[in-house]
Amino acid sequence: MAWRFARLKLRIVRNGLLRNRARLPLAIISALVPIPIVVALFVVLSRSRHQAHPGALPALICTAMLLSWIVIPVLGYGNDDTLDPMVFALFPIGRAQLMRGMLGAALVGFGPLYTLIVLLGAVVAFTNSLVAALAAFVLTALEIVLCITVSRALTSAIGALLNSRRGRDIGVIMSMLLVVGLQIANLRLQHNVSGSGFSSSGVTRMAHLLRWVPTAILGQGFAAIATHHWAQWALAVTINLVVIGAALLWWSIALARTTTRSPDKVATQPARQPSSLFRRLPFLPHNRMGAVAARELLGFRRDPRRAAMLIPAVAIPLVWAFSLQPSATALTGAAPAFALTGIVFTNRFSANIFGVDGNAFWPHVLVGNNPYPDICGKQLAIALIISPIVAVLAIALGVVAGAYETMFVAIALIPCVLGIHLGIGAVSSARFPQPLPERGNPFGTLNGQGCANGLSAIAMLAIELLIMLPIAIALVIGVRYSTASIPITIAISYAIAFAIWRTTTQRAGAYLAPRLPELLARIDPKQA
Amino acid sequence: MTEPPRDQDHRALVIRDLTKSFGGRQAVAGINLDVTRGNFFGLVGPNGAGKTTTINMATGLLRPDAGAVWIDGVNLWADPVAAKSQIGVLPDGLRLFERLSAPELLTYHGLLRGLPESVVETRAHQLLATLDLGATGNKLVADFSHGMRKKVTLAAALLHSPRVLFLDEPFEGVDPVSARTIRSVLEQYTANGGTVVLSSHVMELVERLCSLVAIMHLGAIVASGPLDTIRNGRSLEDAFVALVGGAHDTIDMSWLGASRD
Repeated sequence: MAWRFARLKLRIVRNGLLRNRARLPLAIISALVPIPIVVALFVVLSRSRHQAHPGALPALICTAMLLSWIVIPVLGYGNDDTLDPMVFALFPIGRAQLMRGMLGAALVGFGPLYTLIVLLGAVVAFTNSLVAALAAFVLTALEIVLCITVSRALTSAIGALLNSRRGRDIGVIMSMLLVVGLQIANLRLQHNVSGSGFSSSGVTRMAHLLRWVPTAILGQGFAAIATHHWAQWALAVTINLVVIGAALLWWSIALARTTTRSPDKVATQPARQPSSLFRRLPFLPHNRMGAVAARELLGFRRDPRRAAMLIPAVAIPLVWAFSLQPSATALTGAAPAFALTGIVFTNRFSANIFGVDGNAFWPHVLVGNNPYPDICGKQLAIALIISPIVAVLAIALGVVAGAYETMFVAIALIPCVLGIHLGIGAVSSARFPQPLPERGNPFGTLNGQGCANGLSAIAMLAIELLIMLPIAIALVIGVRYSTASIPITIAISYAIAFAIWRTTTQRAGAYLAPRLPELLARIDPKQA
Repeated sequence: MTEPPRDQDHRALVIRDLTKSFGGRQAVAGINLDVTRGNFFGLVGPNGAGKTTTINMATGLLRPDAGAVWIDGVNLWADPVAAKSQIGVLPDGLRLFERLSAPELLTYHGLLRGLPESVVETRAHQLLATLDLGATGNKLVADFSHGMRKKVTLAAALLHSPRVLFLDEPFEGVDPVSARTIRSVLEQYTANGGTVVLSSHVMELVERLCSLVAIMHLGAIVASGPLDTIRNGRSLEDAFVALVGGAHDTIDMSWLGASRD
């Protein structure tokens, strides 16, 4: 059974890669993206023997791997059918067989391979004899089995929720929080890395905090091999065997429950008076552009795919403001300017304004060939959502840093940055529309679409920075040498931004007008 | 196709030499159709025959490789805005803006069509009440059942009172009560002069509703005309099977249902 499931998983991975041959290079790039991290972790682990506390790094890395095995399958649910026990519910397969099969499938793919490579770093670091190597391989195998059983037990336990709309909504928010969390972790890590390697104090403190976690005990077990503390190694093996047993039991119970009940129904609110599209948005024009803006604004409230795109717009400027300062303890006068980067980081949405609609966009194709009000409506919605957020961020950072002058300049520049950003986004959306998958993690797929979306957003970012650079330089010079020039620079910036917004948006509309059926085909989620 | 067909004043839909291929596979192979006004026209065929592709091309949702479509005398691909203002569509797949309630969705469709908001409100209220969706309140379309989604899409398609209504499998997954409601709405629509182009593989339904029928198979029209002519004294299903089916009758599957030894 394990072999059959493994072949099924191989077929799924293969079909995902080959579905769109044009995207195959992007799919390969996506699969190879973790390699630098994997190699770095391998190298760090292989040198951990010479640290003051040799068990600390293996303990941390083993725990981090378990966390990633828990989080990534939950986020990728829907992309891999072997994760969903409901798919096999009608087959005459016993629970034990199903578990063996799912374990077999879990061992196929890039995840287990990368886990193995990282753990081989510990094997290299702490072994100098055949017996030690065997003992290290036992710990490696235990870590992999533990990761897989806990991961599959969790996805089976919450499978019904993950199949529901509410579950997918939670998954979307979680995935974006993960992206932002990784960014924050990366910045924190940079503080902890010295020229010769990791600062051992932070790692040791973290390892000490986690010392009772089974994976941390397992990581310490690697160091115990080198010092011939076989009792500690045996304890690590025993504890993790017990945890694996408990996870298998949990998995078995979860499978029985998940495969014999219907998916969670989403509780609906009792019927109230039917609401008009503009009930809470009376200030919008009651026309096509206003209707599009109203639907988008309602979408930001009701659709987590849209809401999730706002998380980086809030989190990344704050992280940057606190991380990229000369002093780690105080904000400087430039801090409020970081708020403006929040506009740029809505690019997941603004660089692909039609992608999130998918083939629900068909009514727009059906009503004629004038997408200009649709583009303007979507831009208006983004502007109405992001402007207050950026203004509040700028005020907060300005007050904390006491940089009121920069704060006012940043607030004055919001329409200017928005104009450039939305204009470039309109061109990107018209020329390079990208589909987003309907199920699971909408930001990554098996066929390179996630990579294509990322590249499109990065390209947009680069073009915007290039356009904004002269404005930024002129403002910095103004702040330093002649504050009287700042209003003039801002006024010129407004004129440039308006010209860019108007030209690019009109060109995007004119480009799309005769190509709406093609746009509809390109944003079809089946292409994702 | 540069010349529009002559004498089309009584025809709501004219299709000439419509062709579409996907990756070398011909989905629609140069079909021709004429549908007179005020009729129920049934486009039937097995799965994969090209019905949905034909409807998507006839409504402007998919660009054909060749051929032309006239809606009420207007060339769809030459003057899409004028032609599209005459049609309503219930498409296959039912992708909708999921995070809107039914009234919000209809308001949205109405404003996209350029209807005054007061008109949209009145018509939306009447359509939702007629289609038993009046009590859905603020429930989002994402939480609708399949039948409810069909009905709200039909309401959106009727909102601007189109001249031609294209329905792709309108009764698939719809309960009998809702199906009867939809039928009565459609009958009222054709009685007032509207034309319905209906794609389905449910022969009984087509037989009950349609006066004109075309049978499609492997991307081509294999028979077309008044229902009685196509049936030729048989049931529509028998006529259909005689034209497109029967290939699997000779395969021996005696193991099916036999004891497992």
